[in-house]
Amino acid sequence: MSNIKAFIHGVYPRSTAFVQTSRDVDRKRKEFSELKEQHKKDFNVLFAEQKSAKFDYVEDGKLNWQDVFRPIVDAASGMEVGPLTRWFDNNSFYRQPIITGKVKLDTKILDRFFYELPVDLWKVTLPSPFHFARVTDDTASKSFEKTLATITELYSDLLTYLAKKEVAFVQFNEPYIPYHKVKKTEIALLGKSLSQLKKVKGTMIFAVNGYFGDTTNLVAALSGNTAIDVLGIDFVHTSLTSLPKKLPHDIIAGVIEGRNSLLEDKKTLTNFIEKAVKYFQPKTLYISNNSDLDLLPESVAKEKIALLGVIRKEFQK
Amino acid sequence: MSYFITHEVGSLAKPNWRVKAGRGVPFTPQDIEDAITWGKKLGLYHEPLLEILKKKIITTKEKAEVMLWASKYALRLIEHAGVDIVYDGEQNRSEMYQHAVDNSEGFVPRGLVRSFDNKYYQKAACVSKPKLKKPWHVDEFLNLQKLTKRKIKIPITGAYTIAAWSFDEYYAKNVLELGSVKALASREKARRQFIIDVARNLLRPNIKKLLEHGAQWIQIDEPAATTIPSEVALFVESFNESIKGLKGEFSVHICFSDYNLLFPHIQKMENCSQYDLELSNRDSKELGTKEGDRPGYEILKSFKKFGIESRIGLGVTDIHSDFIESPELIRDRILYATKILGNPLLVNPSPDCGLRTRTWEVAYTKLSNQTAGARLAEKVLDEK
Repeated sequence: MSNIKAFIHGVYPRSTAFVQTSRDVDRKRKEFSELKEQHKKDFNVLFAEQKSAKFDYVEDGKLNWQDVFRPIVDAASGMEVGPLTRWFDNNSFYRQPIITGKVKLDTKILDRFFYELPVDLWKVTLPSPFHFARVTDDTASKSFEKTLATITELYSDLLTYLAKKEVAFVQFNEPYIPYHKVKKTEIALLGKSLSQLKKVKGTMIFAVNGYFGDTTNLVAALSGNTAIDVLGIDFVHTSLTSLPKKLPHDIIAGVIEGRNSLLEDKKTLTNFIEKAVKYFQPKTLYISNNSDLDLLPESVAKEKIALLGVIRKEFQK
Repeated sequence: MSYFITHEVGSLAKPNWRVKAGRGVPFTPQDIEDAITWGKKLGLYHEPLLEILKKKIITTKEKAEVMLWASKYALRLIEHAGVDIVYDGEQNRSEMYQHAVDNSEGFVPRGLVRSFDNKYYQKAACVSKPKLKKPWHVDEFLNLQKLTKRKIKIPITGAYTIAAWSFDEYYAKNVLELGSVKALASREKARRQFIIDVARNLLRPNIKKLLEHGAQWIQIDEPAATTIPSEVALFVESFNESIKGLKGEFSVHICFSDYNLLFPHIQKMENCSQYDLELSNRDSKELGTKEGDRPGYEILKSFKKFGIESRIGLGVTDIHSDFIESPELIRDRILYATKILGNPLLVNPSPDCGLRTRTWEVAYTKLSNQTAGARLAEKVLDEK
């Protein structure tokens, strides 16, 4: 009998009030302290929504992250932010990380980017080290394997920092591999990187979540890797029957579309989750969004959280 | 000999007095001063505008007059800079996407979505079959026709971009199934239908109305054309659907995109007389016309290689920078492009995109230098 649990992951959309305050701060009409205050308010609202949906892990929504790399790049010596770059095939952009010298993380800077949550529920999403390395312009090396080694080392410090804070669950988001249809032989490099990070894992649960494309190869290549507890699958883009059955991992079923405002149909979701449980027979199946919710307006993301909560409750019954 | 026909591409910044009139905010002495300065510089009789700007409260009729004055000023700025093919810098539009969906049925606003950092845009969802509420630009065109003797090129937001920048709550609602190959295929089919319906039901009737009112040249703006690499063919199909059965001149403006993805798909574009491209943003600021001197213009070799015989709206000024391209730099960009394409008549110099993020002073100087650069390039060709 599988457990059905739920959570969200990644960057959450900012509220209209947050957007307005950030614009006012940029135009010097308000003080930065007012933005911090608004951030706190929005964080409390998001936390309450997740609690009300009875999610099994909660995230802080990265409301003050300008993109998924920025705080890490800002906290690392030997790294700089580069040009605006398109976020895959979306009308949204991030600043490309650049390696300019020896990379070293200053974890003190990170404190304001990881909002403290109850330790047994605290979940953090990070870009996978493979994704991070692939999009980084490494001026020190032309070898991708060397760049990945640098990022893996950076992550070793980052995960040690999170383990000290008693974070319970770390999800590595991996849109690059499914989007670019990366071959299994290359995906093995991600497996190797995560195996190296196992030594700083402690009691944290590690998940790898693929999206923005067919995740079949990612799942097949990482299946059996003992550093990974949970594998995440984007079921908007992946056919269930193309995946290996009875995986030796728990599953994240990415069933809530992070890129369309259309609210999912409850019955369709429930039926699919039952089908997926029967197929994988995992100890735990987490239902979640496929990609970050920040490509939706906040009001829509709120509805999607509530729907996830309703479905979780139905399965708990 | 005159080879190079210069263009503008779309938007210009709106003067403060136009923005304030739109928002119902009182004018300041500085706004009046700006109107006087530019009015004099452009040789416009601007007294009637000043009469309105001096008022504390303006009527709805006066507000409409201010909007027309903004068109007149912007159009004259472009003409004064020596540009051959003109428009009014979209003074009476809100924003390219917003303006299109606000004037169409079947879309509802859903809220703000982040573009990057603290920058956001309003995103709407398609909730029923798209239908034209009223033609988007006919009034604007009729007004401009009265104001200029030069050839007008009307920019209009393209079908693919409208669909790509919208959520789909209508076509996708019957394909909610998850985790199946069949669902993936159905989703692609629904997506295609959405894009093609926007082309047939919004773009085509809009363009048809403009042509009926005497418009000759329509520029379809498609900044999203290459956003989803697997859908470039769909962008091409939507362009063809937008102009199907219509007689006029049609061109496309694509900017801040990966142009390599356009090939070979654009070979199937029908009646596209010109590709307006953002190129100077990718180029060196040094002078030179030797092989390799102009990295921003290398992509033109692909147009040549794939046998695209349409003209190129050659982006020669960067719209995101106050750097003023000298006439000599613009000359070299034009000459380099001419060398690649093998025919000066295929090169129409223009800014990379709309100049709305630049001040009027900067925009004016860039456009004036564009004209001067075109003349210098002609001189070089004539001396050969």
